Amino acid sequence: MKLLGLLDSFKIKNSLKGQSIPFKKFSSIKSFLFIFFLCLLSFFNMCEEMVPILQLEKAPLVFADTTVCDEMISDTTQLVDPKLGSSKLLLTGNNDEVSAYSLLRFGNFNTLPDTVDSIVCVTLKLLSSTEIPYDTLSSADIGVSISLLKSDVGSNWSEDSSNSRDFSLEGFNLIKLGDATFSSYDTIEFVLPDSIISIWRDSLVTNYGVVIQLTEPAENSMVSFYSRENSSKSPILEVEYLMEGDTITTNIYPTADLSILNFYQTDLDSKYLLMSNGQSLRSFLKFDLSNIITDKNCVIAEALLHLKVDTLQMKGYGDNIHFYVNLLDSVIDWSSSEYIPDPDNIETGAYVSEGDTSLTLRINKTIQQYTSGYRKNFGIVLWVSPSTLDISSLSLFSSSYPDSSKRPYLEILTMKEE
Amino acid sequence: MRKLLALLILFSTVAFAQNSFYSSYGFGIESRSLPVRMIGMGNTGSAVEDSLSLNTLNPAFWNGFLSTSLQGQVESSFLNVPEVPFNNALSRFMGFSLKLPITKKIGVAFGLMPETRVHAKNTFVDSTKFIDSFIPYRYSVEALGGISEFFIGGGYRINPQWRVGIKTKLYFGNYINKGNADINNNGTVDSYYNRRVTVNGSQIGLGVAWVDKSGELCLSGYIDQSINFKYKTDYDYFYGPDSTIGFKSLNYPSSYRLGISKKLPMNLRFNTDFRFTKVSSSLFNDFYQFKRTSSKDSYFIGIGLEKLPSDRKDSKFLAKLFFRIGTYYRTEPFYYLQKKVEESGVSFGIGVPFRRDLSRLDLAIVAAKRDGFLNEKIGSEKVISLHIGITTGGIWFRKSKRR
Repeated sequence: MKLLGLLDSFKIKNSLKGQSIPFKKFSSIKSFLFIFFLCLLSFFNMCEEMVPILQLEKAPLVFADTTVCDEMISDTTQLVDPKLGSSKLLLTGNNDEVSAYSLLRFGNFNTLPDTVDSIVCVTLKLLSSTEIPYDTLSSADIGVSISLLKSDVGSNWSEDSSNSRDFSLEGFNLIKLGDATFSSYDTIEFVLPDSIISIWRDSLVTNYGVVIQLTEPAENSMVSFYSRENSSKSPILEVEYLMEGDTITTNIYPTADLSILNFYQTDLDSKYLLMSNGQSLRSFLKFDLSNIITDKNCVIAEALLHLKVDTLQMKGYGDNIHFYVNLLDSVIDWSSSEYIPDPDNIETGAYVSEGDTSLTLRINKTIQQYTSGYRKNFGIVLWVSPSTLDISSLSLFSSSYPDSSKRPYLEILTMKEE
Repeated sequence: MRKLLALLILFSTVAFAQNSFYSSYGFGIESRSLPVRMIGMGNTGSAVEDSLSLNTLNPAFWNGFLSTSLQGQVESSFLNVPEVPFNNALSRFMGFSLKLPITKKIGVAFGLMPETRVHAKNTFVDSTKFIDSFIPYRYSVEALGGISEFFIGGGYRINPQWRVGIKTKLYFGNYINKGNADINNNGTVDSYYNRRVTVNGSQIGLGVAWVDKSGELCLSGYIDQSINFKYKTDYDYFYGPDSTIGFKSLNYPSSYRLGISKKLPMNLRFNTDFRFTKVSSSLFNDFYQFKRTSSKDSYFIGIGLEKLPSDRKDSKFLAKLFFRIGTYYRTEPFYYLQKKVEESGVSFGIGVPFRRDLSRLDLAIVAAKRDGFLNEKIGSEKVISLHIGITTGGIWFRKSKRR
């Protein structure tokens, strides 16, 4: 009992030190505390936190650089059939590298009535671009001739597929229709015989169109005309005819036009990587990264592909050469004539000017895709933009070039969080 | 009590964060998650018996409860770093607990409270040499997270002098470390990195207290022993596959606390606490936020004085309040270049009992100064924190006699 008494006494002493404050006496205090507490709560919730920011002594990152070169790079150049139908220029002439002529065909006469009283005049209008190369040595006046193509056995040419390998003027009967002289950015007019319309409209006779060639005195000169792909500067066949007493003029646009380019040098040398629209040359490159970067989480901070330009073989004719890089999608794309680079999936590209001795492509994204396993490394293809002059060609030193300092190499900077 | 519950839920929306430049080291700066009454006494009070509010420091006092009570507390702290300069205000919920009397000699309690919190950002601007040039980069990293504890335990009064208690603490939390790199420093994010460390473990706490027959002197001891702490790390990379490192054991510190409480004349009570935390020397080499650090045992020592309310029923309002003052010193377990982080502070607090002693509002204000290995860069951190704790009690599970 004594113990219990002590316990009770202790409990009373220690449990609640101090008397309670009668609640009724402090109803105002209660209200005050409640309001105070709510205000404080609001204040706390409104407090905007600022986070202490501190400068670290060293970023928790590890950088490393590596070079991919020589035996880790494979490359090749491929020659395929050129397809120049979409070129915006028609080329005619010759130089040390190439000879060229242009084909033009009008096959759609919908704007011309089937029967007219008479044809008054037929005029072929061409808009010239520039002489190539265009410089102070360019001729003031250049002569071109236009001839009708006739053949009994020759197969007709196609804008999409014909090229110097499957098309030749041999076997055609060329009937000269006229000639003209012009200068750069000029309008050339050839007055054609009225009968040309009925010849081209005759379904029993194959319409081979006309060929535009340089006249003899203007050798070693290359000239260009705007093709039908330049809608505002397209060649036009202007037909003036009489119909019920009225003279009516109508414009007829070509259904096909094409430059036929004959390059003199067609042998490929593995020491060079070549790209050309007219020759339809493209180059393939592949980097073996399998033993270089094995960590898929590595960030490719920088990846620079260095290419050295063979200035002696490069032909720019005063213009830049614009080329693209596409990633190959499968192992069979490598050096396959069936492979067509997708213009909508260009990885990168570059302009090369005459005089450039080297160029650097930044291909961080490409290398990142390969090293992180997002994409299999089947290599890349370098191909010239269709907007580049068709007779231009870009020559780079390949990985088998004897001088190792001129070979392609890839420099990569990787980054990884510590 | 329902109102308090509603308030606690509201408070839980307040951002969890840390208010120190040191919070990104180790587990983060230790939260002051002890009752506000004890914060007002220089963080001391492990030998203080309080039948109204729960003495979360020592389960040996989890008995003799007169009421079932719920208590919760919030903190609002103001950090001032004059040399940076940097000022910040931060408010956060500091946990709640519920205690229930079972018998006169036995009580149980449980609760939830933050143990550590981290929220810090670092930015690094530099360049790295590549070929013949330097590539600039900017790397920003942010750490966010912390560890919370859920505790449950009970106390038993063996006799008027001796009390024992046991507490089981379940720790859970995670630390998220987010980084992003802007290579070439052109405003675009070229890479991000996310590391999430999930921590869980438990501790068993054993407490004992001895009270002399007069009730004027109380000695206490408390041991926290860590059990089966482990952490798992998930990596989320910008490129390549994500990866996980399975659970690895974590040598979470165990701590030992001694407390003395002595009644003095003039209704005063003197308290002092000493805590020693045993820390593995490789702890923060394995477990870190931004930067590995070394680790050492940490200490806490504090003294506090409390003026208890007058026993007289006709006392004036002020005489019925608790008044507390205290001072303390403590070290953090992370070291860098052999330099420690130490904090010292003074505190002042009051307690306002209401509702026939079943409830109490505790307020405390602490002014602290923190020094450490960042002193050369930022100087001392000055922190003023305001703590508010409220305990509302009710007679639950007990028969009340009608008079």
